[in-house]
This record gives sequence, structure tokens and C-alpha cells, in this order.
Amino acid sequence: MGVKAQVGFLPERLLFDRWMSGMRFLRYHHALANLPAESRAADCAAVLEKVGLDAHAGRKSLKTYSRGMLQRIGLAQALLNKPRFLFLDEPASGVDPAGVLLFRRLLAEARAGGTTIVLNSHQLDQVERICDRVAFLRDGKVQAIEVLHAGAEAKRHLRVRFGAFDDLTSEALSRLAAGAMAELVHPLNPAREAVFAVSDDTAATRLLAALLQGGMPVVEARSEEGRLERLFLEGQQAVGS
Amino acid sequence: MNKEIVLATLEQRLRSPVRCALAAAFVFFASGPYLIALFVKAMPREIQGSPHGGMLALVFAAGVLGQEFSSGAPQLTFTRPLPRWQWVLSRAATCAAIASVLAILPYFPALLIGIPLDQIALAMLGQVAEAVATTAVVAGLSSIVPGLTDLALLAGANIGFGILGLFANLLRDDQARAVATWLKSHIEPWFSPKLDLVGLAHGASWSSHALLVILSTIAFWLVIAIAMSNRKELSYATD
Repeated sequence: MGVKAQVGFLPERLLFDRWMSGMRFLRYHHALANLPAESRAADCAAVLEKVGLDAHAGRKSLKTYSRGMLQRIGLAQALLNKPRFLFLDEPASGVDPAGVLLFRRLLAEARAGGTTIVLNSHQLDQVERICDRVAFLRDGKVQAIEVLHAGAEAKRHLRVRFGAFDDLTSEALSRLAAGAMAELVHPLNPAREAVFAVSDDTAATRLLAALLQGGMPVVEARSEEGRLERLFLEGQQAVGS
Repeated sequence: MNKEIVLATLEQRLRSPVRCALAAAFVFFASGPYLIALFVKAMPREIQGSPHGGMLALVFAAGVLGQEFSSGAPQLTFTRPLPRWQWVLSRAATCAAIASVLAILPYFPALLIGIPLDQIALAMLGQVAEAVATTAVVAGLSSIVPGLTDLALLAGANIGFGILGLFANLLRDDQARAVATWLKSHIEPWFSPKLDLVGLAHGASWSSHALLVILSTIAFWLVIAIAMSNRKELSYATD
């Protein structure tokens, strides 16, 4: 029971007591979480506002809520007890773009406040933006665990393709990258592609300038997005082969 | 017992217009003989046997756990620091309380027609016992099957006991008849609890066995309800 007091949970399918109003639902969970009764009204109003729902929405029956509103009230109840562990199952499912941004901000806030977030999602781009570590599951078993760097410290990955060149080596690229305050994270592959970690656009420009000045025949450079998607597909191929 | 679960269950159960209409009908028909006796002198002025305590329990306790599990609501409730047995007992106790309060209402008109107070008190007590025990039966069944299937299960059991009783009367073989009669008399009370206390006011002797049957029925079904609820996998709604 002690652990449960420190846990927040948002299920994917919000099948909770729909006969309640939004505010009644929050008050109910506030009480079940054994939070102080004297701060109940204020806590519930605060968390309702936090997820972007107003007092009018709080008075409405959950039966009348849209999918996005249900997700918001669901997240509100999960955040009520300021949990140390937050379990979220597809939190942004059915949420409008503004809601997605709000969710991302709230989760970043919770994360910065020391909350450990366990996020289950098929939206890999969302996962990539929020999570530090990612586990790929298949048939209930962990297939792979990848370490990411989410949030403020996130570094962009830049994939650079080079033309044929005798002095093109991973060591040379690593040295040039270090000089431009970047990092070679994936050495050259047979397709003469290498991946560098850079902090921002300026750092990316600085890295490319350093590579060109170092005589490296840069043919193409593109920002690495959907890294998780690629890891996932690689994992799938590995399982299939 | 958890106050929040009690309040939420109370609100949920009383919000249903169908439940309230059925309850009003049972209370009205159970109080009918006493209401009529207020105006018709020829009506007998004594306590009338009535099944309304059990019926009211059926109305309010039907689906008390099964409907919840079907809806998936406990999935979220159980993430809170709340033992499942508290959830089960709080919900069952609330239904029993609603049914009990309504079950004694029909006897208030009986006070006005001069029926002795001890008879009325005993009748009320009997109805409360039946309401509580029936709630326990329904809660137990409701923990086993989803939605409102508990009602079907209970109806099926009662039909089965009816058929068993019929067989007991028709069987020619004494031993077989004895077995059928024993089964009906010993198992049926665990599905249709009855406690007639009014006879005590007319000189009938006290039967501790009847009380024991009621108490054991309540205990048995509540244990079933708690055990089954503890075993539920709450990945998502069960149906």
C-alpha cells in the first residue's frame, strides 16, 4: 500500500466511473489516495487547470467528455498525488496537437521534479522526446534496451554521407568532430555514412564546416529523426533473420 | 470499510432510475396490506409475509462487483492504496444498507393499524437479515460472473431448486427422495436466504439453526466475493 501511495497511473482505455463529473472523479481519487481532505478542493482545481480543463468542464459528466478530455482528466488523476512513479499507457492517444504539447510539458515537469515515468507507447517519436531509456518488448519479453537522451540535454544526431576518399577513416572523423565540439556516435559504415551527435543547429553547422575544412568529401548531411523507429525496424529484422 | 467507496456506491446505485422505480414498487406493494387496512376495517391486522427484503437487495446489489469489473473501473481504483477486500465489503455493505432501510419502510403504516410493536420489530429484523444475506449472495455471484449475469445465475439456481423440489415430491424411491429433499433444504438457503422471525411473537421457539444459516450464508458469499476479486486480473475490462 505504501508503494501505491507513490504511484500514478493512466490506463490506455479510460473505462472509469463515467457517471461522475470531472471534479467529482478527481475528488474521489484524491480521497482514495489518502490525501488531506482540507486541501481537496484546491488540489483538484489546480490539477484540473494544469491539464487544460476549466471549471465548467469539471462540472460536466464524464459521459459527455471527448476522448481528448478523458485523457486529460485521466492524466490529472494520475498527477494528483504527485507520484514518484508515473505509469502511462498511450497517454497522448486521441489528444489534439495542443494537448500533446501540454502533455509533453507536464511530463517534462514531472520528470524534472524527480518522478520516474514509465511510458508505454507505440508513438515512437513521442517516446524519443520524453524517455531516457527505451525497452522494446516482443511477446512480453524485453528484446532490447536503448539509452536515449531526452529533454533539455537531448542531442541531435546528424547522419553524414561521404564521397570516396582515401583518408576517410572513423579516427579522422572523430578527431575533426571533437574539434568542433561534436561527437562521432556511429563510425563509418560500408555506405560511407557516419553519425555525429551535436547540441543544436549552430553546432551542426560548425561540424560540417570542420569536416569540409578537414578535406572530407561531404555528399549529404541530414538530421537523424525517428531513431527509435530505425532501432525498432533493425530489431525486427534481426528477429526475422 | 472505506467512506469514499461507500459514498460513491450510494450515489451510483441511487442514480439509476430503473433501480429506484423497482425499489419504489416493491416498497409500495409490501406496504399495501397495511395501507389498505388503514381504510378497510375487514382487512386482517397482522404482519403479512413478504419477500421484499430479498427483492430490494437484488435490485440494488445486482452487478455490484461484476458490472464494475466489466466496465474496467477497478483497474484505476486499485492503483490507489485501497485493499480489495475493503472495496468489496464497502460496496456490498452500501447495497445492503440501502436495501435494509427500504425493507423496513413498509412496516411503518403497520404501526398505525394497531399491530403490536414486537411483531413489527421482528418483521423488520427478518427483512433486514434477508436483505443483508441476499446482498451477500449477489455480491458473491457478482464476483464470479460479469455484468448483471449474477441475476441470471441466481434465477437459474432458484429454478434448479424448484425442479429439485418437484422431483423430491415425484420420486418413488424413498432414498432418492430423501437425497433430493436434503439437497434442496440444505443448499437452497445459501442462494435464497430466509429468516421468519414473526413466528416468535406467536410463541414459536427460537431457532439458532436459522440464524446460523443466515450468518454462514453471509460469511460464505462475502469470502467468495473477496477471494474472487483478489484473483481478478485487471489488464483491461473483462468483456
